[in-house]
Amino acid sequence: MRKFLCILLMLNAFNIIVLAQDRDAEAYPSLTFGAEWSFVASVQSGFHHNFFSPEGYRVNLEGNTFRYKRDSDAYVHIGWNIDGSWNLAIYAGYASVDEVIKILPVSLRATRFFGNNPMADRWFTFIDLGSGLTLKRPLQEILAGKLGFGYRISLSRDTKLDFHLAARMTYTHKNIIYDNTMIPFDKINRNNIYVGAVSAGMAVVF
Amino acid sequence: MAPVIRIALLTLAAMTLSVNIFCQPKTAGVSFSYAGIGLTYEHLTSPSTSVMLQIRADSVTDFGPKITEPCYAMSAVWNMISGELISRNGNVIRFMNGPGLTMGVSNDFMAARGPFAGLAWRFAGECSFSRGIAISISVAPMLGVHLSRVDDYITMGLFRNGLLYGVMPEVGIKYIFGR
Repeated sequence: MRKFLCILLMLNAFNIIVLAQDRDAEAYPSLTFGAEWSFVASVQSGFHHNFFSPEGYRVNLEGNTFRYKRDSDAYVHIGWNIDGSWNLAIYAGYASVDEVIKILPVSLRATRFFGNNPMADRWFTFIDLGSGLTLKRPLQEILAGKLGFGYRISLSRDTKLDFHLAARMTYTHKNIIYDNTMIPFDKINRNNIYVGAVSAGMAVVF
Repeated sequence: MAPVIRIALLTLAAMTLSVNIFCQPKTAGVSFSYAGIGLTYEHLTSPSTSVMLQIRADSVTDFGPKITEPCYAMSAVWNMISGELISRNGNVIRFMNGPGLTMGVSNDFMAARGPFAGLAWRFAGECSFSRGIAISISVAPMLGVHLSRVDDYITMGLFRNGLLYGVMPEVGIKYIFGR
């Protein structure tokens, strides 16, 4: 009986030894990468276009409108967990702005996670600033920024599921169509669009 | 000690050492792809087969062509699980493929809106986390026919979207229930 109980105890001790070896040096990986996609509602659009019409006279269009346009975006990212609470990553992807303008933004995002345990579910906030290209003829540069917060569900040490809500502001340009003709680039003096949007999305992070 | 008690204690000892491989009878979730967004339901009917049902709304994202009329697709797929990996945390990775039937109403590539139906073969890899959430990635090329009205005639053609969208991966995020 005593021999049997000793064997049982030793088997349980073996369990503890195996578990101790399984524990990793850190509770989070230092390199992170993943994909993110969100649904975007563009709610505000400010525009300033100044160009020469096909007939030769100058046209100046300026204004700010508030209306709903359905957009979406998707990104891939690669980054570094600086410590258990901060992450810095480079995001590149494809987004649509105001339903007709397509952009390829590349940005840097800093994320701050709340709470001390990387294996637990926790809230986070982030700020994202970057530049990119708008897909029009000719290609032009854009500026894009995001500010948001979210909730991270920890599936394992290496896999996380993030849900986020963000405000997005984009400075971009578009193809100007006036009188059913597209205005050529050399006839345009000013072509600025500022779009404010709200995005809700999710991300899978490894 | 009585032999029955000895056997019972040995069984208890064996149970503390074994890894808990959990069954995954049912999952329900959302799928995202270039084609659209859908709802999926999967049922593990045996350790090596599962049935998947999906309803997808096409072209609700801005990555495909702009479509204003509602388009949808419904599929039923019979998956055969060809491989299974179990990690030390209790996470299970399954590879599966299998035939399926897809039908729906859609604007095909450069065609008018109309119904379509066809057969598909789905290749998928799914990771079920011990947390109760599964993430999957799959491709499902589909060979089918598409009916559309051109003037007064109804024409039948190859459903090109089945092959165009079929090679684009679909990501599924699902919740596991009924363990």
